[in-house]
Amino acid sequence: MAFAKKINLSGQSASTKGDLVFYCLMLLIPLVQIGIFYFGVNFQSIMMSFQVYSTVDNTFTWDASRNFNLFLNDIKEPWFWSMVKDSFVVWVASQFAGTVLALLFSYYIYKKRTLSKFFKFVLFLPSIIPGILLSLIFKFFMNTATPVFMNKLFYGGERVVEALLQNPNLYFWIITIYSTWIGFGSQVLVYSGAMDQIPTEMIEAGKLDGVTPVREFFSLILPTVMPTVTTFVVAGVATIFTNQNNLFAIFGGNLPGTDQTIGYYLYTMVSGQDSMGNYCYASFLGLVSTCIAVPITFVVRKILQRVGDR
Amino acid sequence: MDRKIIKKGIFALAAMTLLAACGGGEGGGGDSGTKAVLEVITFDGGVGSEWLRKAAAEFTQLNQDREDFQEGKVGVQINVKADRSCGGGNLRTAEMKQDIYFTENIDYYYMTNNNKFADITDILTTPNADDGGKTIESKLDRNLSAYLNRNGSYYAVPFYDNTYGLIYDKDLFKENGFYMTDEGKFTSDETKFGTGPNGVAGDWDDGLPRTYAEFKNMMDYMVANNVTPYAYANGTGSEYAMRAMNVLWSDYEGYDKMQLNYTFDGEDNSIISSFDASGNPVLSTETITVSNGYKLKSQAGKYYALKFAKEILTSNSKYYLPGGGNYDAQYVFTNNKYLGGSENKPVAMLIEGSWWENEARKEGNFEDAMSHGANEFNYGFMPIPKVDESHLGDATLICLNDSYGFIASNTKKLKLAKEFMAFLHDDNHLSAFTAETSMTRSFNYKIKESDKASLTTFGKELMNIKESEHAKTVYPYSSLKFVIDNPATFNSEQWAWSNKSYTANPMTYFMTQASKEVSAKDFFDATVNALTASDWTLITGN
Repeated sequence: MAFAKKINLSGQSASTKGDLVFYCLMLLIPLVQIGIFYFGVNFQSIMMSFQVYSTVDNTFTWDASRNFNLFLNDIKEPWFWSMVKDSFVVWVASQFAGTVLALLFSYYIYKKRTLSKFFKFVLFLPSIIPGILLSLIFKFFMNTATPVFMNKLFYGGERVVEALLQNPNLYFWIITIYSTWIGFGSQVLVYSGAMDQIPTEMIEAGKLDGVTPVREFFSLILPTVMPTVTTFVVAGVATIFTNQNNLFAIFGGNLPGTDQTIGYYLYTMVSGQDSMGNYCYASFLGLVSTCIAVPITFVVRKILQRVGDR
Repeated sequence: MDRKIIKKGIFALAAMTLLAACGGGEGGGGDSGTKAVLEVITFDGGVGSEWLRKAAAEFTQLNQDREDFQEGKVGVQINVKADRSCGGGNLRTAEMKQDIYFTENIDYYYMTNNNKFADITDILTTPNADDGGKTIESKLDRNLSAYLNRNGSYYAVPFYDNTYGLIYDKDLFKENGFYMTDEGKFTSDETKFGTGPNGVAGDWDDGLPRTYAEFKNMMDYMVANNVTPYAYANGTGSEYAMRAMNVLWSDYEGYDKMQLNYTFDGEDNSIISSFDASGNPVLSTETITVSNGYKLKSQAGKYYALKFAKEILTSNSKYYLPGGGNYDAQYVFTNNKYLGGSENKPVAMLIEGSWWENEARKEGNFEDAMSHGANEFNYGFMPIPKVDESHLGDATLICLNDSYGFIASNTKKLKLAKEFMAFLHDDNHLSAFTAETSMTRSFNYKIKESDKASLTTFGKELMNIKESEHAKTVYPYSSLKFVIDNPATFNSEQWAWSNKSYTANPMTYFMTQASKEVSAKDFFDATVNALTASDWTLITGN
């Protein structure tokens, strides 16, 4: 505010003018970035939502109805709703179960209990290993090592145990737990960082009042880090329709429609060799997803603000 | 300081690696400075690069005094490079640094839309006096020719024929008497061999199982004789077995009905309209047009291919050796019978692509066998058995790979590149390609008798099939605009097996526990239901 007042002064000093130039130049970089990588990219995407691409003619032509009709066809199919359901399941798991667990782990680390540094390292490890490498290790572990281990442990080496990621009743849940786990790292880092900022006087006052660790967590820690939690969860709403749940990294583009998420569906639609023809419909689905995610974002933010206010 | 050097080193190494990939690199043989230099690259897979090196040497020799390719240069130098990363999507974004490419998994329309290929219409349509006045265009399959022709211009030539199926060990069949008589008895006596699936005595498929039932009997007989019937890849290369199912499908339909999938114009009497109380398909006849083309998703050949796959994968676990990738499958097929021991039962057949033999040799998959005394390998390409005896007849194969040869649009040696391209595609050099690789190019040509001598047994078999009047190959290309505009729907594998209920590869899906309750009919229904009439209307715009 002080700076704003400063630049409104009519008789500006040389150093104030220099500040103004510096301020404008610094502002230019993010503005150009937003202009290109947000408005530019999304503008083209939104345009494509109402276009159709012809490979033969190599042209995009305006046709608002085709993608809409493709969408109407899709939503008549059970697999489509199965994808929507899976997308929400992944979101709930990663945002709510994941957030709750991340908060608890962060609190443990914040309290510097036994092996807390080790846990911090282990939980953050997946975030620094390339996702595709981690997925390959996990796939190998679940499909090769675990069946052998189970066979030896439960069947005395007499039975062939099916690879866990080939069991359609299990694999979606296994991958969802895996995705939630590898999402912990950044959350734990941010939450434990936020907890470290809590004034020690406040915690000590609580101790003098005789609060238990549970009470301390719910009455002192959680309300203090609530803005951080709100930011994470609200930002997470945007991932409902983009999170492919690591399915592509593990299964490639060969998953049944009933086991996909919308994020996986969109990704596989545009990732293939023959993908140009799918760009327009994928853009349309993206636009529809945005239309659904925006109100959910506001509702979730409102709810979390109310919870925070209490 | 050390850290800086290491950092710089890593950066330089990464940059060099990126540049070396596919489009990168400035040729393999250097520049003599006095000759016009042509850079040629080929995908370093089953085809290898020796055929190209030999042709390049011959072309260089023939043109050693030419001065018209480049000002101030006399003669030609052709640098041939083989690179496995030079295929598929890598070329979509890479800068084209070679003059000529022979590679695979190319999206022809994407590449031409992005001006990656030079126009080579003249070399395809100009009669070649050295080739009996024939044009390259005249040797092309009609589907391929129509697909490649964009508004009267050609930008690429097809590379090699690539079909899939069962490769079998002729010696093992002979030694164990796995060949069959027309009465379904097993024999190694050639005079008693049955007619094979084409029903014609005295040709390449004699003695091989004629029907699905005979094939299953043969596998049981192999198991009883301590031989594993087949190996296949269910890791890397698992799509090969799926593509073999496309061949099963096309073989059932025959050439004309399979062609309907690319023309959508004609009558089809093998459309499954329902299943009777016993679960057998009820066939109907439909006149297929662009407006009802989705009905081809119900072609009976697909159902029978699924039924056959389910049967051979699930009825007896001793029928196959699964596991690992395609190299592993090749290894057990070529080596097991020489290695001996209870762990290494001989393998009679291999589900693979027709390029497999070259690749197996390149990967050293014959070496252990040779160190155990093997000095001769005789493999054959097994024709697809028919559903029953009433279907005995000609074989119909399908060629699946999207491999092409083309000249980069940014070449500065267009005249030289075109001459070399034309040179490679006269009958003599197509025949030389087959002689060198034991594979065939996707052109109509005869192999010279002198070249036949150098073919492997497997190569001879492929050539016999190509030249046989009882076998035809379908090239799955359509020139219809709505087909080309919707590749995700009409891609050969998607068109056949795409569905929303199961994984798209039936051969890997039927191996899972989950598929136990899923019948061939269930899978077939799922593929049919994946494309509704209203989807079709949107796709075709009608």
